[in-house]
Amino acid sequence: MPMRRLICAIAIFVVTMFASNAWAGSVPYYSSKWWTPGMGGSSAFSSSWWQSGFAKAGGFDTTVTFIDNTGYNWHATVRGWATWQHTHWLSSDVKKAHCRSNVSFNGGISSTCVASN
Amino acid sequence: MLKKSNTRRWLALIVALAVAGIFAGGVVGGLFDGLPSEDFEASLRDDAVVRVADIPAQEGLPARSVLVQPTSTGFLCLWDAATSASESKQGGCNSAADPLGGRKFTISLAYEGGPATRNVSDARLIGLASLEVASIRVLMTDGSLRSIPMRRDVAVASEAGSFRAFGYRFPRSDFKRGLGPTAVIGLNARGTEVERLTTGFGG
Repeated sequence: MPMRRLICAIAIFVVTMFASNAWAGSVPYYSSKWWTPGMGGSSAFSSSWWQSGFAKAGGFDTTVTFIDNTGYNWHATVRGWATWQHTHWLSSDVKKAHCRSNVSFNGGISSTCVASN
Repeated sequence: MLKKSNTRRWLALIVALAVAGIFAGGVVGGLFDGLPSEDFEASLRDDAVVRVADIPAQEGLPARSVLVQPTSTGFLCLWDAATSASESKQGGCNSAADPLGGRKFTISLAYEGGPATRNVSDARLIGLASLEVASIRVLMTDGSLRSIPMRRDVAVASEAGSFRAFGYRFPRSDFKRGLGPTAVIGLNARGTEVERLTTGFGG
């Protein structure tokens, strides 16, 4: 019984923590000060994501996209050098936002990938 | 009596955990530096955009516009969108003081499908170039070069000067054949290469 309560308590804490982030509309899902080619991350899968963005500490070569949960195909991909980069995919499909660097970069401060719902 | 007390204690614990979770969520969110500010996001939503080049309809795909958006927050953004009024834009922003990010030109490559080249169904290249760049060529994975027409538009100007804009849609047949753009090359008026940006296709 105490173990069940502990699990329940942890679940409430974790769910509330993530929910409080998601309510903000823009959810950061990956961040780093230094990058290497291929390095990046993805948000959780959800049907409500519509924007995938990358706020960068410098103009380095990166990609933002959406990946569906059926064939893991890419959608609305944008590759570029802009310090703020974003793409939109207005689809009700279940998807995750994904970002990655295509080069090595160390900006001293963090560059952060953001998904919006 | 004991049962009621347990229930109260349990409810108090749930509320405390929920409050702690909300607080921790804010802390976790705060761990990410460099997030776009609310002002910046509002400027992208509300500030006017100017159409500076067109991507014609092709192979059943609708025409699109190349848009420039000087923002009230000090950025110059370059977008690829269905229309000037479209909320769905693909591209990015640099400081208005340095719209090319220290380069001779900047590009944004947008595509649907992939990541395998043969699965790409619609790929579009947009860009801004300094006046030093007289022409833009795309190096394809088979070694061929394509000329991309540029347009000088008075709207494409910022505190850093004026620029030429371009937009190009790759034929769908390219990708079906496994052919993709491997690099975009800027040439000066003498035909000398002044900048090369790779696109990731073909290694």
